[in-house]
Amino acid sequence: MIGLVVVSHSAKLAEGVCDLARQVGQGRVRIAAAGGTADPENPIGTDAFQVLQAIESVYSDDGVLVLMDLGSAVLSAETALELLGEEKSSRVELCAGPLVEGAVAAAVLAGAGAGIAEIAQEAQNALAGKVALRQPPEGQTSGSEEALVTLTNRLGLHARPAAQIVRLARRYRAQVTIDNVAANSINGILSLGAREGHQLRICAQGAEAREALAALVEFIESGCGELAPAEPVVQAGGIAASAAIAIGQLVKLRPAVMEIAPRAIGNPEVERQRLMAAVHGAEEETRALYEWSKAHIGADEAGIFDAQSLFLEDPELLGGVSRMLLEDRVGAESAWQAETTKIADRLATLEDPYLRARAADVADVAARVMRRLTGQASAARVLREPAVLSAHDLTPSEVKDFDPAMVLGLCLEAGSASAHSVILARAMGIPVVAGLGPGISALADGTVVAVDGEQGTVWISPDAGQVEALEGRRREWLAARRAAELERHRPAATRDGRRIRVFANISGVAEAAEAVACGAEGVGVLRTEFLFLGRAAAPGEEEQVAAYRAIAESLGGRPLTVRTLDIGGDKRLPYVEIGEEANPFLGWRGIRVMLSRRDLFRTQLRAILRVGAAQPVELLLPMIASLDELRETKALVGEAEAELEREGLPFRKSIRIGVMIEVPAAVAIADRLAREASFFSIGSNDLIQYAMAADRTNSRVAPMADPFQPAVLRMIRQTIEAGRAAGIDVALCGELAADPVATPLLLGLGLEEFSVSAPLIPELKRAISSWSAPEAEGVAREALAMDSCESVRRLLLLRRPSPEPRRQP
Amino acid sequence: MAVGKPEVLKWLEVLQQVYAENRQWLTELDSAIGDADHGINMDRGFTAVKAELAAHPPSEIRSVFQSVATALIRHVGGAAGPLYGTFFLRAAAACPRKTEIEAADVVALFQAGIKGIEQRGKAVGGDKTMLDALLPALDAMRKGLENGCSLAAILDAGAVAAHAGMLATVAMQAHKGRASYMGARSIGHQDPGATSSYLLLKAAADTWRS
Repeated sequence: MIGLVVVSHSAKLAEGVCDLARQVGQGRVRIAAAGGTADPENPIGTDAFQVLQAIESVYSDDGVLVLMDLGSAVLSAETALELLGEEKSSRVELCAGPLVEGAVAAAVLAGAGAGIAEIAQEAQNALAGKVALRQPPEGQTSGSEEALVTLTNRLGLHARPAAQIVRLARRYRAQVTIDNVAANSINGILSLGAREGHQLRICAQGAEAREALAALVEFIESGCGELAPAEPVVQAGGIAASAAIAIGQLVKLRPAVMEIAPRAIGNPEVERQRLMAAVHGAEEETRALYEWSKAHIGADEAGIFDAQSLFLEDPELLGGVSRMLLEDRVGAESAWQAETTKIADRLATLEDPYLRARAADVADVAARVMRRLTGQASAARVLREPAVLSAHDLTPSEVKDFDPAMVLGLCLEAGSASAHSVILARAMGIPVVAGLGPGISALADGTVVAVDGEQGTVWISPDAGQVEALEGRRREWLAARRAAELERHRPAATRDGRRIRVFANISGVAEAAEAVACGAEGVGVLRTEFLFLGRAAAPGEEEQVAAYRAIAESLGGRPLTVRTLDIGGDKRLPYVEIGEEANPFLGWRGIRVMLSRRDLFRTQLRAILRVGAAQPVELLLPMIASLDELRETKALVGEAEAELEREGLPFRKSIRIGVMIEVPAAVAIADRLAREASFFSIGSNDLIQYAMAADRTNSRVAPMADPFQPAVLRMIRQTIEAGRAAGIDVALCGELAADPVATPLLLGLGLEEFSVSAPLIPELKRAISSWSAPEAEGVAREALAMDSCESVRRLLLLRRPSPEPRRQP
Repeated sequence: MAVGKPEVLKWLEVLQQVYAENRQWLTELDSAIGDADHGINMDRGFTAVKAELAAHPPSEIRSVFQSVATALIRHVGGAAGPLYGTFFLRAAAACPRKTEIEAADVVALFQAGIKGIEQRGKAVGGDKTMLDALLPALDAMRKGLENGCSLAAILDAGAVAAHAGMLATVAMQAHKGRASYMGARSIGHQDPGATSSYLLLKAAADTWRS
């Protein structure tokens, strides 16, 4: 999909136009503003470097359309193209269209997946609709044709039919208007807001007026190509949930309502045994689901099934069912149904969204038992031939039950790209379009549909041409995915072969599998706060062991650095009384809390040490500002080791203990810390704020909290040098690590480990591989000689590698 | 004579003074047919150039031009920013990696820069723009080079031609830029862009004379 850039002399105007365009871009079109200058005293103007940055922020190989206001905006945009380099700039179109109307038209078409040439033309002509609106209705002149036609498609003239009308109208040598709006303008047609049942007056004038009129009347009468029976081309837009394409017959998956056949109930003990057999069977099934998911998808997704097993052992539930069997003399099915529904309903009314979502899990596992009791197969299992399934929403275990050879694709009325069930489907390679709304269920079973999980579109009764195009795209997608996969998992190295470690920052089980998928070589920081936040009491040792172990296991042997709880600052816990502080960020947080809440610290250290018995786990301490804190922690680790030894629990002996360098004090004593720590991890986000004494959420001083501040760069250099002198590893785990502009600088300073959020890894690896170590060192030397963050940033922008492939040195 | 990095830096230093001294004049010219900011913009731009060069002394001549381009693009704001920015960007690209550049290099460098302005602004001679000073100047410099003149003579010829070109803009009707909105009413006023371009060449001729 193409990106949009709006260039204006005024930052406010550019932002405003972007807001308007985003409204019609359906949240899918990437739109960036480049307004005003960076000079606060002369804010009105344009700045080629800003335009350059905006283009790069929305760039893809599909292209970028740039709209500009007056005079120098055009010049700045052209200068930006010169700075962008030939390869990319050949895919950027500077459009002379009107800023507001052009941006809106472009966003509509971009959202509908149009190509750059068509979008540019439409944006260029975007005033036509307004011009036509302001013209008095024309009287009947010679050579003009007119017709009245009723709009029959249910959704009215939304973006897709409007675009088709525009294309159709342009095909003829005639001026066509619909309700006095020029039919060659997408804005104009959309501005009609025509809905089903509207009567449209079409006028055509010119050499081919009659032909144009006939074509448009036929198109509109046929329901704008959106009536399935007449013209079998329909499209439904949803959320692109799984990037793949499938074509097949639609089968509706009906909600699993279990029929309970009336029958005579005999001995309650017999019913209880039937039930327990079903529960045990379901438990085994769940255990198998867990193992399967863990092996194929990751420990996080598998965790759902682990929790479900616990539910099946719940004494309260089993006791309640037994009581019903005895006292009410009902069958196992009814008792089970009644008790599980009660629990699911109770969960569903809770305020906590996490617990509320567990209602679906309860229903899921309950249904598994019911299927065993009633002998009904799950809906997906009755598929006799491969099909595309439609459903309201799905539970993870329903998806797990799918045979990817039989379930070609999924069309969901509800759901989101992040739902567990959709994540499972994606991992199984099943294309999914979610959030389609109720319309999809109205289609008859057997309707042929094409599911385009990449663009979030479902094609209903596609014609041969569409099928061919979609299959071509599917082949391309598979090939691209294979290539990307290989690329992603190649270890990072500079062009001249210096190995660089690229790790992921994660804060939960979910992100561990993602990190591996994105090509992380390990986890540089596991923020453990996710386990502690949003609950009334601290997690116990066993729970922590389970969580850390699940993460370590899904990393498949890659190293895992666990940061001990960093609470305080802006994070509060109900069970850690911090009290009112005038300056929470200069207050009781991080290691300071843990060293005085020995109970919390001891439990966490024990859990980490235990998981380390079988997994490559390291310990990372946040907010270290003095040697005493490190030494005290080491003593506690020693105590925990002795305890575990006494208890006979396996644990990791002499675990590597690293220090976060995020307080200027730690930088100042980095040489001393380096003698007693196993590694450093520079937390640039906090370090910048503490070094500059500037809060980046305070807009007045936020610009000072710039990673390229000479003070910050010197601190990073000092830390890396101290680490190198002592022979310990140094990583950087702040946002700075992920900024490709900063890559040569960090490489040149000698950084050998970057830890960034998983999705940014592929781009970072690319950036690393475009530099040689000596080049990066040159850039770092120059940057460290600069006196301001602006100069550093400018230098880094100027020194970016040219797009032409360079010769190997 | 040949031009080394010190001479180039000297030219830029002089330019900063020239645009500071002529700030009011350029702005007055611009207020007649434009938006009355050309003098302010040029002064701000070259003050930024001066600060940038002082803060980070570039290592070679071409990097001097690169720094100048960046400072102008970032700080000038109006159309002159990308136009003069492009001039210096292209000049940097055309500049040989030598410690001293010869007359032929200097002319080549001006030629690349002026072609850059031509491409960027899409104006032609007679449109009442900076090109009306720059194109005749380039012509004169090329002729000087062909005739084997010294660099000082070449630059003098350029400055003289630019001056004549600048004066000729008074009689022209603007076809590009803000002034073009005035149509025939732009006739009778000297173009501020051609004026700042003349000052650019004049400063080079004055600085690199000996």
